[in-house]
Amino acid sequence: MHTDPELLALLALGEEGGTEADRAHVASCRVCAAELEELRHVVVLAREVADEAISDPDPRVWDAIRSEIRNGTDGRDELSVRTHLRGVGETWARASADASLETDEHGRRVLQVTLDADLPDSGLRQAWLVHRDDPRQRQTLGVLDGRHGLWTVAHAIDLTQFAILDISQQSFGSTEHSGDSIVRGELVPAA
Amino acid sequence: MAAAGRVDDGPSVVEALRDGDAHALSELYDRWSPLVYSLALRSLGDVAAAEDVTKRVFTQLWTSRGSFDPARSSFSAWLVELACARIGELEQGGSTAPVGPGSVEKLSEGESGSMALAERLLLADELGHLDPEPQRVLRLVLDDVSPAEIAERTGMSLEDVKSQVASSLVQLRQRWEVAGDAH
Repeated sequence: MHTDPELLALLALGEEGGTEADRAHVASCRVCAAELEELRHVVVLAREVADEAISDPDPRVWDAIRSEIRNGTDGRDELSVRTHLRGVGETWARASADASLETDEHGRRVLQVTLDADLPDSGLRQAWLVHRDDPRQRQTLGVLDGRHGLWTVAHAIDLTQFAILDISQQSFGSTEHSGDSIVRGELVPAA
Repeated sequence: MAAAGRVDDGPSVVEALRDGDAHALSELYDRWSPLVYSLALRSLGDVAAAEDVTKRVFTQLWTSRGSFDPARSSFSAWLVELACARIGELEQGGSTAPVGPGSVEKLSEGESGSMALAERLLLADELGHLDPEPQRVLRLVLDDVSPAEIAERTGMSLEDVKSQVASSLVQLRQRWEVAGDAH
């Protein structure tokens, strides 16, 4: 059982506290001794920096950031991409799809897909973003409604990495990619 | 801002930032811009340059938000890294090319200098973000006022003063450690 952190904090401040047994433990326990040392370091540094001034930037800095972001001058936020996806393999040789990716007025990345293929009556069509260098890594976007798909793409997904759009033929109820890709193509060109 | 008290800078705000919520950026700016600005001001000694660094860092925070990986570093460690890189560029008076997301940068001499300063300012910043009353008491103790004297001045019991100071210090150390990852 290690020493209570608050007792170590008191000791680090040079105060008395704890029992004889506590102090004996701290002296002999590597973990507690290291923790005490760390807290002492914080105390020493805190004494030094107690009067250090942390000052606010002028409000104009935030105004500049806000207007820069709103104008999307960074370029990356104003994605506008159109891609043609080709059929995969012999089975889907005549399939194709068109995809567009736009940033809407709320900053959401909206992906639309229209699939042109001779589709079976069974199952579903599901869209995936596949990692450029490692096809085992993929995120699903969702299921197409007939020939059409419309999704927002979370900003957490880095489209420079998850750059390949793939639409697969799926059976109901399965969560994994079936391996039966209908069309596939690069959504965001390599930089 | 810079008033004591906790602005929400926890995982939920960082998560919202990653999802492209501009309000989250504004909250993170409120919480962290004084640190970035002060670090740049102390390093560069020039208000306009420090404002420029602050602007670039938070704009980059927005444009690179998808590349922040909470498993790899804490948010504030990432922020300080971005700030030190921008400061390093200006110190060298050279390139202003943006840093690629997730790229590992070699720290120049100037940058490692600002890392050491960053560590100190982070602690000052976290100290200033403890709740007002515990902060006041901890500052007194750091200023070598004895807990007994504080108890007398404030009417708190000696035990309460000690336990409050101890818990403030533990809190400070945890936040600093999480923020810094730097020692």
